[in-house]
Amino acid sequence: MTGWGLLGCASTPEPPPDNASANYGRENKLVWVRGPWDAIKPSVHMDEIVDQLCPAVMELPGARDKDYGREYCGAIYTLGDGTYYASFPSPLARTVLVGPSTRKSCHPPNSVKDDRGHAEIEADFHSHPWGPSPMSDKDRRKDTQLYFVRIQFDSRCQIMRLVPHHKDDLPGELFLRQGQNWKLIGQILPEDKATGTITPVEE
Amino acid sequence: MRESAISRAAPSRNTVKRTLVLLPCVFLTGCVLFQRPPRPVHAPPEVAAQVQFPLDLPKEERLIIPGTVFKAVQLAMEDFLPWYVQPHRGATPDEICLYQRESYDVTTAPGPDGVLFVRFTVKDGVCNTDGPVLDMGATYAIDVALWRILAIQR
Repeated sequence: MTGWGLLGCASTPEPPPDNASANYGRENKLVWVRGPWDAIKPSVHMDEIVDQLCPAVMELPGARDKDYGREYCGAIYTLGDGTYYASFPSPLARTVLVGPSTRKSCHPPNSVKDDRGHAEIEADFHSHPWGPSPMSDKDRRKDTQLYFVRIQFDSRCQIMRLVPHHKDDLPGELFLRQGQNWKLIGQILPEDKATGTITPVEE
Repeated sequence: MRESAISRAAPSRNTVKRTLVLLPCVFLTGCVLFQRPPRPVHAPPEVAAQVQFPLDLPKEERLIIPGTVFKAVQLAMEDFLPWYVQPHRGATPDEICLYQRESYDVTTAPGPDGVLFVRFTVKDGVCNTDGPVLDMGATYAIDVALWRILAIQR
């Protein structure tokens, strides 16, 4: 018990990540990331980008460290040339310290800086430092959607894809990556988009 | 020779003193765990005197929380955000907001075999001046027979 208390008292916030990092930072509070990330091979197929992300992100510091870990957020984007690129992931996050654990929630990037041209973000991606850890209800809510697609993966590299349809009346769709396919596992009915409530899809 | 080996191995008087001085500090850091939660703050009598209770709680707006649900939420919350947790040094306004229990909505649903799921989700429109909040919530599986936390999903 005392040990727990010791840990809790000794646990200090991490120093804030370097906002002047070459690969991510904040402008007017909003997070930007640099691209392309050289760990991810560009492709004309978004799925080929998605499949490379989790193994690469999980090599980053704290990416698998559960309660002591950190999340990474990044973007999949194009330059209008039909090719998809991944940005560097950013650990810039909100932090809440509870006892020895550190809860961190990264910010989806608001923009990508690519010296080659204007980057149009098609999807955001983020990792969870736990596993199994699916896309949370907050991840699915309409008011948190910025782009057409949201990719999420956990420390076991279970990958989920949300197509929120947050700008139209179609139901949102939640997919699970299985091999080279996406399996539709749930829908978010138009009336449930505010809460992100999932209606399971029968086999 | 033997004596000198012993004197090297044994702690010096200064070391012992230092240890004795530091020992209370070590235990004090864990003391928060042995404290009782503070009693709720009461308004002064003159403020209390102005409150008018209705004959009954309005039927249309009242919310009945079953005792089991209440206790399960309380148990989960004591783990999720213990009463003694304070914002860390240098916390941003959004982070300070995330340390407040009232920043979270609670959803519960019964599970199988005496389990009650309790989910904490950051309320819509709060703590988000720096952009959307994604994963600051958690879902607890509470054993309502033995009153323990079975598992946590984040």
